[in-house]
Amino acid sequence: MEDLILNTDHLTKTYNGVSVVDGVTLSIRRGDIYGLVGKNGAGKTTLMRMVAGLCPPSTGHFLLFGQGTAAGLRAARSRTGCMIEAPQFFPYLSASENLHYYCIQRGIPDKACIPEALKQVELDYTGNKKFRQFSLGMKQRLGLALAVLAKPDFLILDEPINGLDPEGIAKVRKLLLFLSREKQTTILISSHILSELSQIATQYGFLHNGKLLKEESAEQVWQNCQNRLVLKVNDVPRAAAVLEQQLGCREFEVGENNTIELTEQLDKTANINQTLLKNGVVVNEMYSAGKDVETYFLELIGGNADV
Amino acid sequence: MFNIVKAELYKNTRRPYLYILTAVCAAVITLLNSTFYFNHTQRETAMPSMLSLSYVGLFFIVLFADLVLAEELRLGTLKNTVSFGAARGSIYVGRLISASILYTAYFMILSFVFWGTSCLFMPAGPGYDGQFITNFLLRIVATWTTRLGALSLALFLALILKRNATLIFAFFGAMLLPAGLLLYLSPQGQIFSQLLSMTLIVQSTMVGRTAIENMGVIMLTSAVRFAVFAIAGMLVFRRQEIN
Repeated sequence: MEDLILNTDHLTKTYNGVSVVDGVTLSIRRGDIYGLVGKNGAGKTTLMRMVAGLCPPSTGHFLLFGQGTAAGLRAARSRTGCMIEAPQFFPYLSASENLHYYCIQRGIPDKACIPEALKQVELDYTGNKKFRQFSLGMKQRLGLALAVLAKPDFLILDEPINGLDPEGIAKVRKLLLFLSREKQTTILISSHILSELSQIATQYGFLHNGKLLKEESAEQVWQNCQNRLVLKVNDVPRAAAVLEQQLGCREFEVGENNTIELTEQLDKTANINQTLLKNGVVVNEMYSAGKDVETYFLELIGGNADV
Repeated sequence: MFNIVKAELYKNTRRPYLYILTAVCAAVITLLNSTFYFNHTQRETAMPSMLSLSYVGLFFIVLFADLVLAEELRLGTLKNTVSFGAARGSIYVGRLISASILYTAYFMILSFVFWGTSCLFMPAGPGYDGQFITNFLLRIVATWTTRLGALSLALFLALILKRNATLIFAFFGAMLLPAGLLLYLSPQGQIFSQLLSMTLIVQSTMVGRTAIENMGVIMLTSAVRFAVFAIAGMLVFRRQEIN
């Protein structure tokens, strides 16, 4: 049971009769880095807010660490670290003082976790600098420090790399991978930067208009993205005949500039090349073509809107 | 809940806000008491009058509600607490207790300053005896309970309004409007007059001069006010969405 960290069952949140999250059923297993993908207003943040206890579901329910009762969820949430929407702290306290406040509040006796968390997000140099003097990126990193402060088993991160520079993004990626691999932390993360998400996610949930369209593993998404083999040949009619008659291919299209796009037998590139050559077809180029996660998602929702 | 209280005290002792407020109020009390030095008013005459005038201090109650809750609602930091699994009831009560502790500390310091400067600037008359001192201490305790009742009201208003400007007006309104309405209705029946005497603003203004026998009613009304708004606040906070 403990292998399922989060399990939602037809989770719905309605505001003024409009379903912001509409019957979402998803599962996050221990060790997953679950990338929640969706356009603005798809319901990612609301879903995370419900799990974090910031707003109650309208209908449906969820289990966190196998707990579904009010008391059980409270206990489960104490094993969770959250960063939902923009990180907010007391502007007149320093990074260390802000974390100290939450350490006391959460009953964390070992205050050594404060410098450790600040070091992990590289904010250990800030000293007495007050939160109000922090840049957007520093605020974001302090939000992450709070999320990892109590060494949680489950991290909920809503757009954690917003406002970070490329170096900061790389460091956050490194930190999340470290937490996942070394500390076995399960992570639910949403990000608009899908190219970044695709570097760490092991599982995806595609959300659109409050509905979960699809749940797929990173491998499945990668396979679905890498879905064409492009052949550039000297003789297209002959190549098409060889593909059809000798290799039994049915799913291919003839494109421009002597190209043929194959959508089957993608793992038999050597055999295809050899057979074509044997039959006097010169293969000038052969490569796998695909799309990135962003294109895949846009195709999935049938549009090209802002992700 | 104990951890929530400890954290609030940690946070509020690390900002100058409370120290400045206490220092300014202490300076004002000292200045006001010093004026009695020149007209040779006796302690037993001036002190009850000053205590009744201290109802002005009611208006500072909103600042304490701001310190522990309104500010958090404005900044959006409550999500950090709620998302960690703390019980909503504990969060609210913890903040009410924290505000009460902070207010009590502030009130005690000002009471010492008030009594001390009274002794410094005013001569003791024949009425300044053990009985007067005992009664006056009881009046101070009654004043303190009215403030805690007001604090519970202010915290409740902070929770439902979430905006500081609105909170200040709502708090003033909640204190003055019922009293005004009951004052208007009091010729219509005894019950309205009795209710009027139980309002926060009337109790605060009469605490220095009314018969000592009325202190019990003032303290009891304040305790009820404190409990009613604490329970109402807990019920609202349990269902409130946190932003």
